[in-house]
Order: sequence, then structure tokens, then C-alpha cells
Amino acid sequence: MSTSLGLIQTRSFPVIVRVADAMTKSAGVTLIGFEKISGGYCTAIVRGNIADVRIAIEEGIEVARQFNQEEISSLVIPRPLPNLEVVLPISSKLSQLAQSRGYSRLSNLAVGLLETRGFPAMVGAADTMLKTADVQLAAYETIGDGLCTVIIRGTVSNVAIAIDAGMYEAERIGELNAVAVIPRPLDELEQALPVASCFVAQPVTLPVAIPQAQKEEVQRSERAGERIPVYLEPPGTP
Amino acid sequence: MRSTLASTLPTSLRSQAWLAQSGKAHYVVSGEVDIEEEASIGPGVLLRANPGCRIHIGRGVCIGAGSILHACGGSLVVEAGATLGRGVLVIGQGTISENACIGSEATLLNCSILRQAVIPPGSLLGDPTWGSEQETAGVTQTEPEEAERVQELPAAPAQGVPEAKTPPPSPKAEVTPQEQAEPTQEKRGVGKLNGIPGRAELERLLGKIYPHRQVLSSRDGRF
Repeated sequence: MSTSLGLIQTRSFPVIVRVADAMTKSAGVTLIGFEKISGGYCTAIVRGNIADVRIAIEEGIEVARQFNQEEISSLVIPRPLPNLEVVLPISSKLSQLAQSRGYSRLSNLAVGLLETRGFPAMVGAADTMLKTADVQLAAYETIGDGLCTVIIRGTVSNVAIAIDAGMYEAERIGELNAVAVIPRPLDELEQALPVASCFVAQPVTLPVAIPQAQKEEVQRSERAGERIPVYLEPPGTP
Repeated sequence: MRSTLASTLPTSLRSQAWLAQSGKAHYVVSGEVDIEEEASIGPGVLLRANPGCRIHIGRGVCIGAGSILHACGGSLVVEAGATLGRGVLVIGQGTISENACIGSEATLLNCSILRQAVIPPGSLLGDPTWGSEQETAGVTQTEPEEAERVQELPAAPAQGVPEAKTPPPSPKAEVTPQEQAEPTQEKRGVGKLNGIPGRAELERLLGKIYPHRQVLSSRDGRF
């Protein structure tokens, strides 16, 4: 059964993450992921029932407007054809791939995003944020047009203070573009966000010795088949 | 008298300087000035809005005798219920919010007044160097325009030149004094931060987490 498709595009990564957060919380939609073409354009892709998708997209546009985004483009397709889903990265396969990535040690924490135009400002802001509050630097993301976003995780108070401090530092060094704080992201939003490999815990496979034990059993049973019967004579017979 | 004059004249002429001669009003209005009903304006009051600017006088506003309201660089709004004492001078742009009380002979230079605020008589609010800075900033660009305006002002009632002919003030002239008013680079950085997407939301969030944050941190001392 095919579900409806909703797309919304802005020109900033923190803004699109905040928009995706609002969309997933406003209606029963599934966040498929973010499509980052270059030039600073980011698109959030959601799937769900048509009513949910319509609500989510309207909510997303409203949030994007609050973030002073002039160039918002959005789309709702009630029933995309299967061919479209096969070719374009709009099906839920993408989120399945993301789920098989492993368990992130930074889950269940608030997310802070800070976007600058230029790399030095982002690094300087990240350094200040780590030194200001108890936060972890989770990853960074580039979306073209000189825009790069640093993603931090921590408790909401730490994240808010860190972003506040990083904002001034980024503005001092270079050009600050956007900031966003998500106090409690949903799981699917977390899975769509990039996480550095050092924070991903890979599952460990334990060695199991059961096959060997079965092999011995089989051999023993073969020998038992070849066993020659021995007749013992009673001790009293001459 | 005012209503008949306003209805007979075309809209372009309404904005010219004219003297309200009815028994109710003895004040001078010049430029785009709208006065809501039930506003009481004392005798000898001057309400002057430069081209491109406007003055709005809300419902139930009380303006004392001899006050001068001069809008330049933006709109000057006096909200409902505000009271201005005798001889108050208001220059520039800004908003005098609801039920504010301005003491007599106070001077407000390009600043806004909060709701129900009480300004003591004879006080001076706003940057006193604002006028001189605007002059220095406008010397290169707006001097000919200023001269035009000065010539036009007395000539306007006699000639009946439509307001639309005067060029609107260039946006540069509005921006330059504001930029010059910010003395340090840090302050300018903070001002720039206000337009950053997500800044307002972060401020709201911080306000919820730390309710006394605004009180504790002074605006100038931060970072």
C-alpha cells in the first residue's frame, strides 16, 4: 500500500531539522530523511496518510516562516507511483538503512545545531560550546554554499547555554547563519541526524561452541554401530 | 471645519500643513497625521510628520498645550490612553505605549516608552547626540533634500504643491544614524544576532530554563 509523500525545502540545516521536529510531532508521519543537494538547499521527506502529511507540511511551513526563511518550497503528493519510489530516495528503505547503522550512545539527549558560513567559525563555535557546558560534539554537516552545521548533544539546559555562547563566538570569528535547539527529539529524527562513528556502539558477536559438540555426537554414534559384541564366559566353567 | 476641509480636498492636499481653526482644536498638523476620535489635543500643539513618516494619535490620548511631536526617520505612534504633559517635545520615531504618562516639558529623542510607564517632568530620554550625528551623517546625502523641505514648508499652503512630488527620504539616511549610534563593534555584533533564524526561539527557551537570567545579566556586559 502506497502512502502519501510530503516534502519541504529550506536553505539552512538547523532550520530543516527544527521543521522536521515540528512535523513529526504535529501528526502521524514518518520522517524518511534529509536530502541535501548543494547550494544550501535541504529537504525533509515525510511519509504517512494524506491527512497527516497535509497537517505536517502546513506545520512545517509555519515553523520555517518563524525562522525567517524566505525561500520555502513544499510539495504534497497523495499517491506517488511505485516507479517514483524505486528511483528517488523517498521510500522508507533509507530509514531502514539508517536504523541498521548501530546504536548511538548519544540518544535520548537534547540536540543543538549551530550553522555558520565558513569552517573556522564553526570550529571556533564548537570549541567554545564544548568548553562552556557539558555537551558532546556529535557530528558536523555541510550543505554547500559555505554553510556548515555543528551538532551537539547534552541535557537541554547545557545545550541551550552552549548554543548561546557558541553563537557569539561564531559571530566574532565569521558569519553565523542559524541556530536551533530541540529539547526532546523523537527517535526517527535522531536516526536521521548524522552521528560521528566514535559514538556509535557496534554490536559484539559472542563465539558459540555448539556446532563442535554436535559433530562429536555424530562420530560417537557411528562407532557405536561398529561395536563388536564381546561374550564373557562365567568364571566357574573349565 | 476640519472634516469639511478634509472631505473637499483631494487626498494629496490633505497632508499639507493647515491650521485647525475650529473651537475644538487649535493645533497645527503637517504631513501624514491621523488622529483618532476622543483624543484631546491642547492649544498650540504642533504635529509634524516628515515625508515618508507618519504620526498616529490613538483613542483617548491627551496631549498638553504647547507640545511638539515631530516624526522623522519612521513613524511616531502614541497609543491609546497615553498622556503627554504641557510642552513635551517628541522627535524622531518610536512608540509611546498605552497609558504611558509623560511629565511636562520632557524631551523624547527617538525612543519608545513602555506601557504604563511614568516619565518625570523635565526629563530627557534618548541619545542626546542623536541629532548632531544625524546631521553629520546626512551632510553628504540629505542636505539638498533638507534644504528643499525647508523651502517647501512655508510655501506649501500658498502654492498647494501635492505631497507626492517631494521625494521620500532615502533609506540610507535612516540607516546611517542607527549604525553610528552603536559605538562598539561588539554591540553591533549583538544587534546583528537578532536577525539570526532560531535566535528568538533560543531566547524564549533560555528564558523558560533560567527565569532570572535577564535580570542577572546586564545587556552591555555580556561577552
